[in-house]
Amino acid sequence: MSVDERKIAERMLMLELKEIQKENWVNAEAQNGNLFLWDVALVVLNPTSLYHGAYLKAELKIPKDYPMSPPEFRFLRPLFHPNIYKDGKLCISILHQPGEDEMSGELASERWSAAQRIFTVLISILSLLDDAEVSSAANVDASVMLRKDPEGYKRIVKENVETSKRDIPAGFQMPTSMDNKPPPKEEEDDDFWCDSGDSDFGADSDEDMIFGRVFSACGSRWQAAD
Amino acid sequence: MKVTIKTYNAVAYWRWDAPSDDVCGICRVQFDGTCPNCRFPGDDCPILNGKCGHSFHLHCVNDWIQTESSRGLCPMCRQKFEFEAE
Repeated sequence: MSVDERKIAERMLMLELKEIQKENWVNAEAQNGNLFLWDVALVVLNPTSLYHGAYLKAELKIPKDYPMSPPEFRFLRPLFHPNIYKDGKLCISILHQPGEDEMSGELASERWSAAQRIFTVLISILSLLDDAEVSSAANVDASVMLRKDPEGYKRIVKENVETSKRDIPAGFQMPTSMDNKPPPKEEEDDDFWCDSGDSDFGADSDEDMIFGRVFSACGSRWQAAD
Repeated sequence: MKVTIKTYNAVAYWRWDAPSDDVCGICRVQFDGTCPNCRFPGDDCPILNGKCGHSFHLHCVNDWIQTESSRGLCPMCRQKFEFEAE
């Protein structure tokens, strides 16, 4: 790893951290001033979210060659969610290197690229919470329950949300509304989200594309085991 | 009246053929600035215009293309990254 690479990453991360610290839906800090290890907490402000009011602590590990490689994200208090492993790690395509697990069914367009940012990752993770991908689960129990017993699933999520509130630091003012709106998407380029011409799939609905596509394909593929 | 110019200072400025507020999609520095590795803007740190319509600092996109996982795709639109020969 060259010294240069490290410096580049540090400079970019410093700017990104500053940018992210302006947002009220996330509480982020570099651990002991180390820009490659962040303590983050996602604050769910959306009143229609099942996770409304949650304070979700997580750790973000950023590689020295960022943004060439994606960061690693882990919830410190694992959530009961089809795409979250029991160790708090996530199954979400944006955190995957474009090249790995060819067979997962993930489109290259949903994977990490050097044009992605910590900001886009955090937004994707927030939208994954309420938009679970049950067909390929990191937590099969959660996946089954979401399909078969949505009410029971909601109850567990509510418990998760209540537990997460214990992590709200003393003196931290929980924002109550989405008053500081997330800034407009950085990429104004019209064909940014379009599939490239040589893609055979990708005729999915546009609905999940509000913040870019979130797609998850880890763990065991769901088998119709009814 | 006859004027004799004894001396003059020529001043010129240059800029890349790209919108002035545009930043490189990889390092997020303006094209008129340099990639994070370089100190002086200009021919030493050129920009590369992809055929797909996305431009980057040559050094930035080169680093990306060299990663195995990039598979030679543009980081913005994921089409094969090809550029116009000058």
